[in-house]
Parts: sequence; C-alpha cells; structure tokens
Amino acid sequence: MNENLLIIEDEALLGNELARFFRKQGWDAALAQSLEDARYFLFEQPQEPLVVISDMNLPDGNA
Amino acid sequence: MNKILYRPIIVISATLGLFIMIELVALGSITWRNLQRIDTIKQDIAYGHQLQQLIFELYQHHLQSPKARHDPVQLNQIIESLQEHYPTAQETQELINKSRNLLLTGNDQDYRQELMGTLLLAGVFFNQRIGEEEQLLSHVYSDSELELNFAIIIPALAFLMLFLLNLRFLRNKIMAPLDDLKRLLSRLVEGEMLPIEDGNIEPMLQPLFTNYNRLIIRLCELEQEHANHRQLLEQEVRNATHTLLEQSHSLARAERLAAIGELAASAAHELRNPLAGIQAALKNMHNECTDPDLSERLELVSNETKRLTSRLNELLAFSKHAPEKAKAVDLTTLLNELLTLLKYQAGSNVALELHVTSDKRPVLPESELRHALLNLLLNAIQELSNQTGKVMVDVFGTDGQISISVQDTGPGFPGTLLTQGIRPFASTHEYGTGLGLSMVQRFTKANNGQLTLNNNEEGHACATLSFPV
Repeated sequence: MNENLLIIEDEALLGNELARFFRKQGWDAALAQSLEDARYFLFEQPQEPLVVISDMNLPDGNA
Repeated sequence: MNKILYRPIIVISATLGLFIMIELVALGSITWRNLQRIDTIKQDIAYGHQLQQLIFELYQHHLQSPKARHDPVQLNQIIESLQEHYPTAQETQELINKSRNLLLTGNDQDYRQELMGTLLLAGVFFNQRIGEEEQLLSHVYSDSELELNFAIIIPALAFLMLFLLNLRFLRNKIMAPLDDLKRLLSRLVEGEMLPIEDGNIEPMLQPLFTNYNRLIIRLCELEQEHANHRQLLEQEVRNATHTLLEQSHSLARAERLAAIGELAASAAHELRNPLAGIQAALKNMHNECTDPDLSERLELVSNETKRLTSRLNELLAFSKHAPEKAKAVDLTTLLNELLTLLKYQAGSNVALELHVTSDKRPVLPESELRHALLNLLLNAIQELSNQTGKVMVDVFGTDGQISISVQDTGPGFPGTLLTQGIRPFASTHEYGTGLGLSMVQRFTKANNGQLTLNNNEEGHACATLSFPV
C-alpha cells in the first residue's frame, strides 16, 4: 500500500512539481493549496497522511 | 569727610578773625591817639581860659587901681602853677618871666610899657596856642576820617577779595573736577571708559575719584571676562554642532542603507518563491527526460536558476546583517565626541569626566562601539536622574587588553542584575526598552571582548568593557 503524503503549498508550480516528484518515488501525494483544503485532507479524509510537507506562510494563515 | 570739609571754613574763619583783630587794634590805637589829642586840647583850652582869666583880672586890677600893687605872692603862685603846666615853649617862658618881672617892678611908666609888651606877647602866645590847637583838631579830624575808612572801605574790600578767592577756590578745586567727572560719566554711559586724571583735585573729593577709577577698572575687567566667556561658549557650541552634524550624516547614510536593504530583502523574498517552483520543475523534467540533448539543456537552465537563487540569497543575507568593517579606533577622540554631545543632554547637574591613561587602539567596528558606549553612558546619566552627580569614564590598559569603564555616582546596579546577569527586556526605566545592556553584551562577545558589571566600594555602578589589543 502506498503511504499518504500531504503537501501544503500555495505556489502552483512548486506544489505540482513536488507532488510529481514524490509520486514518482511511490508516495500517494495530495496537494492542498490553502488551509481549508489542508483541513479537509487532514481531518475529513478516512486515511490520515503519514508525512506532511508544509509551507509556513499560507495566504489564509500560518500552517 | 566732615573733618576735611571744616578745613576751608577754618581757614576762612581764621583769616577773618585775624583781620578783625588787626583792624580793631588799629582802630583802637588811632582812637587812643585821638583821645590823647583831645585831652591835650581840653587842657589847653582850660589853661587858656585860666590865663585869659588872669589877664582879665590883671586888666581889671590895672584899670581899677592903676597904681596899686598886686599881691605878688598870689600872682607868683599862679605863675608858678602856669609854669608847671606849660614847661616847654620858649616864648611861654619868656612871657612868664616878663610877667613876673613886670609884677615885681615898681615903676609905673615901665609898668605900663611892660604891660603893653606883656599883653602883646600874650596875644602872640594865644595865637600860637590857638594855631597849635587847630592843628591838633585837624589831626583829630583826619584820623577820624582814617578810622572811618578803616571801618568801612577796607573790610568791604577784604570781603570782596575773600569772596573772589572762594569763588576761584570753588571753581578750580571742586567744580572743575566735578565737571570732569560728569563728562566722564556721560561718556561711560555711551560705552567709553576712561580713568580720570589725578591732577588738580581737592583732597576732600579724592575718595570720589579714586572710587570712580576703581569702578572703571572693574568694569573693564568684567567686560573682558564676559567677552571671554561668550567666546568660550561659542566655541563649545561650535564643537557640539560639528559633532552633531557628523553624527547626523552617518546616521542618514545608515538609514539610507537600511532602507535599501529592506527593499532588497522584500524584493528578494518575492522573487525566491517562483524560482523554487521553477527549480523543482526543472529537476523533475531532467529526471523524466530520455533525450540526452534535452537533458543537457535542462541541466544548463537548472544551473542558471541556481545562480539566480544564490544571488538572491546573498542579497537577503546582506540586508539582514551588513557587517561593518572593523578598524583601529581612537578611543580618546571617540569618547570626547560622545561626552561633548551628552553634556547638553545631561544638564547642568551632572559632570562628565574622562581620564585616558592608555592610547592603545582596539580593532572594532566604530559605529557599533559608539552605539555600545552611548548605551552605557546614557544608562549612567539616567541613573542620576535629577540629582547632582558625576559620570566618570576611564580608559586604561592592562596586559594585552584595553578597558573602558563607565562609573556614575548613582545608586548602583540592582542586586538581581548582578546575580542573574543581563536579560533582555528587563528595564528599570519607564521608557527603557531593556535591550541596552544586552546589545552591549552581544557586541562585546562578537568582538572577543568582555562586559563586566559591578558596584564599587561606595556602592556606585561601574560597567567595564575590555577588548584585546
């Protein structure tokens, strides 16, 4: 089973490339571009991500 | 002063008194002479009367009884008494002898002749006597005239002369110097200051002029002191403003640099974000690429982005912390400048002292050192608040080290500070940030130095910076 990975980053290019890189490595990468999305992935998905890579300064708050 | 004032009065009184005495004596002697003369005249008149009476009696006798004899004894007595009173004149003697002879002869004829002769002589005698008396009277008259002159005209002249002398005295000795003084005082008002000459001054007024001269001298001295003081003040103000201007220049420069740095920092930050994305995408593309040509090109592009990133990082690092170049600092000049500026900040109740016993120069960034010293000095000044006190800065050297100590005469460091050490944001002042001492500590540590805080024997605060040289 692939492990879940959550990437919280509001820059589109950087986020996409990071997700792409980790997917190549075998991770099931999800990209959240705002705090709201991040909350959704963290609390409302049935499976919690194992690792979270987060940008500290998001437009809608400190991650 | 009164004693001196009496002097001219005494002189005048003495002169007048002497004059009055002389005049009284003169008048007295003249009057006495006149009295004598009048006495003589009176006597003359009396005896003249007597003689007249005698002759009249003789006449009578002769007429009544021409041949009778007189009593020779009686007549002799009278003639003798006459001789007593008129001992002098020759004619008188002759007359008297003739009269006697006449009286003593017996012959009638001779008697009549002799009588005629005697009568003639008597007539001459009387005329003589009257002439003499008239002379005496005229002498008396002229002497009395003289007395009158003495009594009126000469005193008048004398008073006039005294008056003129007094006037001259007054004018020369008193009015002239006073006029001089008036003139000099009015010139003094206009700003000219001349000492009065020591010439023709009445001793009574001498103290006045001496004091005036002393006043002039003192005024000159005071003006000189005032001018010197003003010059000194001007010089100090010039020094202070010069230092201030220099400081404000370097401050402006620093601010400009800081502003530029901030701008650069925010720009750099904005630029970094997209670059991160680009770099990541390039890396991925490079990994997924199968075409070696494309792979190589992607690598080149990736290198360029890396270059961009590192340049931006440098820029960010520069703006965050622009290290000032350290150089050998002349502590004496630096501290003198600081103290000159702080003198006006500190107020008149705080004295600032600097003692430099070593001219070793530590190699330090100058404006940071200035900032640190300013913090220590301001702390010391603020500790004294409104009391009178001193802040003493000592620069001394020990083996391989140069130390700067700042002491004040205030209450000393609080015990907590000495035991716990310097903690940021722990200020003892209302308006203090609490960052001063921690900034100084950071500075000294960054430059291999040491900051020591302690209270000296009298309990006053002492902060010492030491650096290796």
